[in-house]
Amino acid sequence: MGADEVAFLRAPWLEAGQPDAWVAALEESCARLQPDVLILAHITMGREVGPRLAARLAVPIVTDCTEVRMDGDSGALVGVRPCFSGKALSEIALAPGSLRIATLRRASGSATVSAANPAPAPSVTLELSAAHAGHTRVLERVVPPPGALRLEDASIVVGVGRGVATAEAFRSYIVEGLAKTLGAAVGGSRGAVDMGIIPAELQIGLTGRVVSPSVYVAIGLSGSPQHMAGCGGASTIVAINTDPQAPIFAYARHGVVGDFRKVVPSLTERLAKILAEDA
Amino acid sequence: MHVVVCIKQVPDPQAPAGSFYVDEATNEPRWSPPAQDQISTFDLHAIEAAAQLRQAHGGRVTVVSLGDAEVEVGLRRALAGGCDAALRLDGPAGSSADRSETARWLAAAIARLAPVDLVLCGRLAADWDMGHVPAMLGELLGMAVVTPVVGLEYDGACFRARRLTDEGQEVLEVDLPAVLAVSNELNEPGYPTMRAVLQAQKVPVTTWTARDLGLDEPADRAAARLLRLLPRDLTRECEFIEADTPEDAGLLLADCLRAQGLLAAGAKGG
Ligand SMILES: Cc1cc2nc3c(=O)[nH]c(=O)nc-3n(C[C@H](O)[C@H](O)[C@H](O)COP(=O)(O)OP(=O)(O)OC[C@H]3O[C@@H](n4cnc5c(N)ncnc54)[C@H](O)[C@@H]3O)c2cc1C
Repeated sequence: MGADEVAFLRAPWLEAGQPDAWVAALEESCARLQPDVLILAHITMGREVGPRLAARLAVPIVTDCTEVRMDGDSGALVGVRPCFSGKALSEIALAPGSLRIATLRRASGSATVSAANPAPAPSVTLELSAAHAGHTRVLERVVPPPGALRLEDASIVVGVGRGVATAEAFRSYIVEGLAKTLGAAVGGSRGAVDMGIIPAELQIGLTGRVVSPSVYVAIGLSGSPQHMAGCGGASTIVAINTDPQAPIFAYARHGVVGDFRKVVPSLTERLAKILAEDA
Repeated sequence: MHVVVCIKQVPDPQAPAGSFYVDEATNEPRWSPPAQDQISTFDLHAIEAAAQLRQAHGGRVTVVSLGDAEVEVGLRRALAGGCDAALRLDGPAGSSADRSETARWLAAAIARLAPVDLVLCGRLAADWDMGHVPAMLGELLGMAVVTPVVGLEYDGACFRARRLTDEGQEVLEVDLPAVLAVSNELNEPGYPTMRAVLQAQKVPVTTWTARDLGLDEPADRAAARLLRLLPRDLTRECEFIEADTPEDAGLLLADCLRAQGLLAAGAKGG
């Protein structure tokens, strides 16, 4: 993927995978490898480990970047990141002179690595020294069922909101209906989480997951800036909402004003027919 | 148990998207009509969590905010919401690019408030959306960090926190002292009673300066700075499906999706 060298970090205490351990591991690796720039993935781990490492080493950081670049003249590392619930982008420059840390969002639509088999980069293995005792221990993990389609990998995502009202309607109209027919992943708004329609880990938005599918079907959600921060990168947004004034229609390419309980069954039925014909 | 809650005031994050704009001359965010300052959403959940812990286990809660006299409005709201003491740190409320100063001030204050068992923050401030402070505080204070916290259990001895991970959740046993960054799923903050609001007016707000905290002047050249703030507009023209009944609209929408080539599977991204 373009790396000149790969360093494998090895320590028995890394297995547990808690952020404490990763902060220690990266601190030691940075001391040994002396990089100018450290880039972490902006996932749960990187989101915590990045700022912690920056504080521990007293170095600058920019997080949640959609893009990073080097400024040739100043030597600054420039990170572009959304702020104000995605209503603006800020360009933040980290001056040279010490390690600089950036966390980078996963690029939209680049879920897979090129299949070509590149020449393997030379690698080193760092055996990390210090024993490590973390402050937290995992007692229990809730993970998605095996084989479940990841929201981030789906080409079509159906997002539901408070308007879907009940877990039963969600199951019958969406999970067993529209999403199943489309082979779509499902998620939704904080309104849907608050109503107990979907679990918290399926929330999409500023403080949820960020998806950029080809098609995002928004059903019974109003289109708050905080929600759009997680799905505004979709190529096409389709909205079904009873309120013609709902902000979601300002982001959508196709819209239906109507009750999802009336619109979705006929939509699903017709789609099933079309997809069977086109198959 | 001594709990410290760190809060920040931000312009109403739920102000309509259309009221937001960027002053390009100064690179500053603006709202027209102006957005009211209020305690950042997740910080309200942190206050509520602290109040609930105190109710169940006793102890005291200190609320802290960094900034000028205006942050006292938020501090009094926190007192009404169940905090016992309020502390204002007379320093620069967060810059647009760098949270290390904020963390340095808060860490110095928390060290001075010792012993502290628990520091509660919101998972991110609803303005620049960074969420750096809790993680940085944990490092500067040498405390455990858990983020974002959606559940808490404490039986007087063992502390457990439930947090969101990328695709699921995790329950952790947490050594105290700890910094917890709280998410909205944790609780539902109520509105304080009129009595509590009036009582909060009588509690003195303590102010500590850089000198009180033994903080030296910050380095004059910030290592991270804002180059540009650019408005981002994701809105577009919507084509509404017109039909006599919503059922018909559903059929037409299906036809439209096919005609637009949006049903071709596997065409992720673009
Ligand atoms: C700091 C912060 C972070 C946040 N993070 C997130 C986040 O990550 N993700 C997120 O989603 N939100 C987030 N929010 C909350 C966000 O501001 C909104 O409150 C939330 O997105 C609203 O959810 P909703 O659209 O489902 O509900 P509502 O705004 O109540 O919208 C419901 C919609 O359903 C429609 N409707 C009702 N009945 C029907 C029907 N029968 N058929 C069709 N349509 C119907 C209504 O017309 C309405 O438009 C955050 C807020 C803050 C302050």
